[in-house]
Amino acid sequence: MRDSQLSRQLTFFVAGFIALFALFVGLSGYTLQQVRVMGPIYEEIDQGNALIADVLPPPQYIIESYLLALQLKDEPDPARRETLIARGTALRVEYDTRLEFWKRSLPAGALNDVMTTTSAKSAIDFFEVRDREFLPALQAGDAPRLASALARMQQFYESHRVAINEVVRLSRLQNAAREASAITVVSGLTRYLVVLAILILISVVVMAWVADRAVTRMTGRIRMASDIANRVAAGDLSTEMPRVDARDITGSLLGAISTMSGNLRALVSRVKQASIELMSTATEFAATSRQQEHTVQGFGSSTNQIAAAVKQINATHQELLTTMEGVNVVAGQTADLAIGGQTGLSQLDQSMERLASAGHTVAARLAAIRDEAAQITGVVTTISKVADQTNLLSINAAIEAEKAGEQGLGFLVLAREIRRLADQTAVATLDIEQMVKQMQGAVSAGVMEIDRFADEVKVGVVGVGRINGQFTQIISQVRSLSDRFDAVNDGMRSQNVGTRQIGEAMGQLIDGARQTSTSLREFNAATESLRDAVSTLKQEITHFNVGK
Amino acid sequence: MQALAFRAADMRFALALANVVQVLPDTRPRPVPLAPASVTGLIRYAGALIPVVDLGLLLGHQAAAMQRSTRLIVLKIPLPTPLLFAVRAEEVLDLIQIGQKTCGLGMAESRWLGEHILDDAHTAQLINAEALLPVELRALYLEHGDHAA
Repeated sequence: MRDSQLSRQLTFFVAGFIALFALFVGLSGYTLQQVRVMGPIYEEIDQGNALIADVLPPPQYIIESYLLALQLKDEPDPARRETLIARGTALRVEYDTRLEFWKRSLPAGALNDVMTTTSAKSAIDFFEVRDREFLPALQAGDAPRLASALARMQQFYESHRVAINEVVRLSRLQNAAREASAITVVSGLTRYLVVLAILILISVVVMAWVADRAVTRMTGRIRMASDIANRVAAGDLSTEMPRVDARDITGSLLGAISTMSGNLRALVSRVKQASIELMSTATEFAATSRQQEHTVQGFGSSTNQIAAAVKQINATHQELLTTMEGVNVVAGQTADLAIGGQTGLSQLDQSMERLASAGHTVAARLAAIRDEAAQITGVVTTISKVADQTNLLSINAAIEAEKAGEQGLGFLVLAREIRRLADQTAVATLDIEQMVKQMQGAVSAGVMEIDRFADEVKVGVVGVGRINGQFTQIISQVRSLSDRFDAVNDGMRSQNVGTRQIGEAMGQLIDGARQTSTSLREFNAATESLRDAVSTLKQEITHFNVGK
Repeated sequence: MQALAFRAADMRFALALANVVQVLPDTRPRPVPLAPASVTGLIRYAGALIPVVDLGLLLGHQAAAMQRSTRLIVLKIPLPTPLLFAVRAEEVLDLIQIGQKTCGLGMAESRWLGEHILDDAHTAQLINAEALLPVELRALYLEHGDHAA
């Protein structure tokens, strides 16, 4: 339900309540007005009572006037008579005044008629008779007239009394009717009042119920908002906001809290991300600066080593100078040795030439041997052919001898012997053939060896020539070394100066490295505090739960 | 009784000396078209042409190699009309005495393979010269018997 609706409803209920209450107040006021003391009913009753009180004792004015008239009749004293007459006149005036009052105040009706007409007529007649007949008769001292006037007065007095009795009766009746009507009025109004009060009660209950419902719903949403706010305060940002109708104030409050929480979550996520990145950056910083510190330390130690090395170089230089002189001497000796070597080499060259020609001779001889061997092979082939034919002949001879029988026996033995010889010849030729083949192989190998030897000798000759050239170069270079050595000496001297300067520069460099190391250490400390700060921030941020 | 021992297809065989006419050095024969596989050709001998049977081929082996020791053994068989032919062997070994004969294994389809001879340390198988010629060749010889004689 919406606020405006609720407000309208409440307004409606309040208006209804006010109207009903006003009605109630009016009605009860009216009721009170009706029945209150001095109210119209009371007044009527009171008037009635007053009238009764006024008239009930037989009308005092008339009675007194009648009594006065009786007194006057017998009063001899004129002064006294005068007083009584005055008194009688005053009574008439009082009666007239009273009558005027009743005519004015009594409502029209039977009572008014009886009171102001019937009773008043007799009373006025009474007073007329008194004033016009009785008093003049009295003045005149006319006794008969006085008596007749008195009699008439008595007559009027009686009729007035009857009328007054009637008035009293009527007034009593009227009073009773009025009291009854007052009771009726009061009871009717009381019923209205009860109904009105019940209506008011119902409307108040409904209003209270509606208000309670609205307040309960609002309280629920506000409690939800408060819970979410508490969770957000405790750092839990993962709460999903319930979707609510955002058209009323609590809905818009929840919406605002949802937006706030979402924004906060996004912010915290970003801060978390940023803190992680910051952390890694800080770690990288630390690592880098540590590395730099190591590097600087390494640099410092390297510089120290360099300085030491420079010192060593200096020392070595001195040694080198000494060594150079020795080397100079050795170079001279080397040149001499090289010259000797060159001489030896030319002798070697000649020997090589001789060797080469000897090799050629050997090769020629070997070729001759090979030819001889080939000839031997031809002879051996011939021999083996002959042996084969001999074998064949001997077999055929044996066959013939066998066929000849007894006469061929001797021939058979001969043929066998020939065949044995032929076989031996064949075996021998086979051996010779084998040997010649081996010899030919050996000769071939020898020729190849000799050829290779000749090649090597050729290569050797070339090598010797090259070595000779190299020796020449060595000699000339060794000779030129001496000049170079001088230049080296000069260079070394200037190097000495240079190394000294390097040493000084190294000292400055070491100081610089020390300073760099110090500032790096400070940077490290700063990085550490940055990391601490970032981890504190991270820890703070971890209080916030942003869910997935 | 004597026999001529020789080597063919790396085995030792023997032929009865009664059938042997002469041992000749190996000569290249003139091939005969459409002749049986074991008949390598014809050679000239004593003014006539005689067929040459390669024992290696006949034994289902390969032909004897053309070596100096390779021989042609000229045989003569006393059929109704005597006929000559040559057997090609790898090497002629010796004349041997036919002593104890044992049957060994007789092959029904090759009657030309005869008994085994125990000769000193070796064993030779006798070859029946009369059954040696291929059947179709022998038939040819029978038809032209007068010409061969």
